[in-house]
Amino acid sequence: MMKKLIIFFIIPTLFIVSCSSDQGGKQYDTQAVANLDNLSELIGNLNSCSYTLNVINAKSKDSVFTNEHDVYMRGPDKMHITSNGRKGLKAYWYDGKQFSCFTYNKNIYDTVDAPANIIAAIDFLHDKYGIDFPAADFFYPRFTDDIIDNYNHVLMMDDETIDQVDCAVIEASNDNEFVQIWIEKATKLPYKLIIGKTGDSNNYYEAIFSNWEINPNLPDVLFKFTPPENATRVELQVKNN
Amino acid sequence: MKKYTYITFLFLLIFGLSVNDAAAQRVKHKGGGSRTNTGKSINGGSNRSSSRPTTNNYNKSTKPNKTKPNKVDNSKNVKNSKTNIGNDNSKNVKKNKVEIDNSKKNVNVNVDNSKNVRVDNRHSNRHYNGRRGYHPYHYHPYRPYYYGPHYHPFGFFITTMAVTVIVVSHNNQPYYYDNGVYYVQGSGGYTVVAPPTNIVVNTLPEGVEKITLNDEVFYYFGGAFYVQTKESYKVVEAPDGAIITNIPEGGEEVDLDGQKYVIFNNTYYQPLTQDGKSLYQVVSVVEAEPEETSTVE
Repeated sequence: MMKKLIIFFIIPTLFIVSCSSDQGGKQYDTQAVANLDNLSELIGNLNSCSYTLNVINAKSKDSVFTNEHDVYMRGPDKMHITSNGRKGLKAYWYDGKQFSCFTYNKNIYDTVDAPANIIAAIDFLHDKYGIDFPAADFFYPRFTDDIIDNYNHVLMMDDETIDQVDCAVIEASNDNEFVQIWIEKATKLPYKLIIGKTGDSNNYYEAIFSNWEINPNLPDVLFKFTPPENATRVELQVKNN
Repeated sequence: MKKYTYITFLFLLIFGLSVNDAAAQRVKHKGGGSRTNTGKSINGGSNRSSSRPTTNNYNKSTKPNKTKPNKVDNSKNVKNSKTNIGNDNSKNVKKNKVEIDNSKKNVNVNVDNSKNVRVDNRHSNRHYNGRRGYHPYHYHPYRPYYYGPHYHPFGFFITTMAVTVIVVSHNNQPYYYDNGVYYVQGSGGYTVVAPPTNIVVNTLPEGVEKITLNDEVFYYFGGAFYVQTKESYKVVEAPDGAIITNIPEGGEEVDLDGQKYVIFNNTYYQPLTQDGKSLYQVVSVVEAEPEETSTVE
């Protein structure tokens, strides 16, 4: 009787439990996934927002660059970004029909046709011209699923206080890279993001958010670009695939 | 023939998927922009899969299990007000009229690795900021701090000087001072140099740090320390024990006694952490004594 119990009940049960909890070595923490869902939902409910992003982009120990971006978005099809970094000041305008880019210190610009909403425009410009928008990850509607699809572990870390901002910390990782996300507890908005290569501390992307404004009134003029009279139009370089 | 059709179809399918994956930004995404977004949401609203893997409750990790790069101190960079509405391009173009020659950028005048030095631990009985001695060493990687578009590291070369520059003479040498950066004129342009000790300027740039050390007030910007003299500010040697929050581009990590320090403008900075913040403390170094060699009598 005992033998039958072991064979027909305990072993299958252990097998099922083992499979469901391990999932081939994958670990997805309920709270971490819920926090990502809440963040994604909060962003999905925004009609407009603006924030500042300070970025460190390190490719190696000797190749570390910083940028500061001011980002303005208004749904479903308006975006304006100013970026200040080692290449000087640049600005981008997207008005739902066209995308314009202006490089201040060279006084050059280009305007191209763009898709009809922000995410499609971000994808299009990334694919065609290699333009990366700052911390765009958070703005994809499938943000949580994208994290789950790409990483084997999504876990909560100990809470952390940065510059007197209390944050919940989530880490997603696979064998090659990891993403760490700090979510400000008070606002539920992203505060900090690090994407790094496992075992290579000199290769990482770090972004800190500040100046969040939720549903601000952003006028149309903010998203319209008029080239200066003496500016030269230079075609955006198409990305080499 | 049918076999080749299947192979071609399979190839196209795989290729098509990888192109789709290239739609990623930093994390790979499956897009979302193709959805019809008729509402006013910035991304059409959050969307979650109905077939997710099972989640479980795990204990929080005490530390991120990967090497976590240090945070960027953006406290000086954060803007409290945004007035960037509209396309006032003329204003911004004027602000960026400085022509920069990147070909001469890689001049490194900060680091002198020829010295054989060690941290002077004899200073550990001094009191700094109400504490005894140096703060405990706590390594965090050196991340060059970006002060903004006006700031350029030592050795940087520009061909045209900004209109906001002020000429300051020191030891019969004219220096061109602009937003905390010092230039000297050379062939075809101006090169950023370290400010000489005792040079006096009337203004300090935005982003300057105020440091109180043993009841004395210092001001720090871009690797230079100042003291106030009446209505002006004089550059002084880095005060031993001063704690700062950032070091700009141009520093280098060096190993001393098995610990990493940052040397910038011939000053050694010890990494430390205080209240969760990554900081540096100026440390004094002395010439290392030569190692004893055994002799055969």
